[in-house]
Amino acid sequence: MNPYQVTATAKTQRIFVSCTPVFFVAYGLAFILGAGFVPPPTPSLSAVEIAQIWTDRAAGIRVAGLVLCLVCPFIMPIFVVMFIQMRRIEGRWSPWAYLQFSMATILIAEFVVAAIIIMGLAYYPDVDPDIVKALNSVIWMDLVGITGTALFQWMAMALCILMDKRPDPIFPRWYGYLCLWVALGVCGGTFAVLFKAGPLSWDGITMWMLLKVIAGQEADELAEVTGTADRNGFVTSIDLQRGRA
Amino acid sequence: VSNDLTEADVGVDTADGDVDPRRRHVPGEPGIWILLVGDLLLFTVLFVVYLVQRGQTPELFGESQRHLNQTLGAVNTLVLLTSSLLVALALRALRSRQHRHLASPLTYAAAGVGSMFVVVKAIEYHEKFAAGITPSTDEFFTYYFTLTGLHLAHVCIGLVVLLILARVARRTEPTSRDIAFFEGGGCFWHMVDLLWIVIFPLLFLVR
Repeated sequence: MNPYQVTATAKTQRIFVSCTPVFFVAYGLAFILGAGFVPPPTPSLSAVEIAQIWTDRAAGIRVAGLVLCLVCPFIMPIFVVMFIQMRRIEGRWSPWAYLQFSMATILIAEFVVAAIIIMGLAYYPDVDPDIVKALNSVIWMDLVGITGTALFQWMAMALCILMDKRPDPIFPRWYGYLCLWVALGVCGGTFAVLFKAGPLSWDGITMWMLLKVIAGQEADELAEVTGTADRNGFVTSIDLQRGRA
Repeated sequence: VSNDLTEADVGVDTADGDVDPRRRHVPGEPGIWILLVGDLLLFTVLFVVYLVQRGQTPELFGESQRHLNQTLGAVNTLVLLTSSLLVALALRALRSRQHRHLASPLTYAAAGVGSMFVVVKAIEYHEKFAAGITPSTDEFFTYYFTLTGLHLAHVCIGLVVLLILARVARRTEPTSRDIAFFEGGGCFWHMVDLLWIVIFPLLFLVR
């Protein structure tokens, strides 16, 4: 690979990282302002009350659904960069990097599924309230309750980062521990299915929400890390691509 | 930062066997405290919410609490305290050149004792299920199963960590980084212990 290509891949990776704030800002705006989903409809509401929320906000939710669907892919590029950087740590056969990446593709599917149901419900909000209630809970279970994939993804990142034995590690070690914490923390969402009220139900000031926000900020943190990695030498990653590492 | 640790930083005996125990140092790698403090923070939020909910319906919580087996809770407290002590002793052994060979067996012993927690917890859960009590029985039991379940998950992770530490402790010439890693893993286990010491009175004893 020639030096021009080296610059090109470093530049591309920086562009990829900068997609992440686009995702968080657009998703946040659509979710909070467009659909008014913060706080989400309380799980203990009756079918009629939940259906009423969907009918009242149908127009806003439709636009929000459209934006959610459109910006979903913007979360992906940073995980590609993560994949490349993890391969620098692991070398030619990179099980953790592949595990992280495959879990990331499922993560985006979870966002897509929620967006599809949101659009579908907002399209015909005047159907039987029981149907609205059931589909409404599917949205929140999808966004909050699917934790196994996130657990594996963050665990893969954490273990890979902490296994980096080089004297000057690619990621700072504290970042590995932070990933571990996020991995453990997202598990809190697992219990959403058991609660109709309280901290672990899908509404209220829930810890999972906090965590998602923190995980988002963390992604920004990653932008900094990658910035350093760029300057320190993409030469290692080029070696990788030739299959010599 | 961890790369710059000296042997004295992690409390290894100097050649003349003289170590100043008052020497200031943050146990483990500094980064692990993000995980420990973050985890404690999450549990603290849960504890506060539990207490607030309890304050709203004290009769229900008090009545349901009577179904808990305090003996099993107390046994598990002893199990974790003993296991924590063994890890602390193992770290001491690892730091001293003279007793280093004891570090690995002590850590395995800590894991062995610690695994008793899982057995006792399984008996406790079995008791509840046999009596027809599940997480959806009432609000108290939802919190009971959530808090103890999350904690049990931490115990299982901690046991895996202890097994890794026991392997690290087998090294005859551990580096400063090895010792810092051991300290960090040990701190995680102490945190698991600490959490139980809060959960036990909170769920089982508070009237």
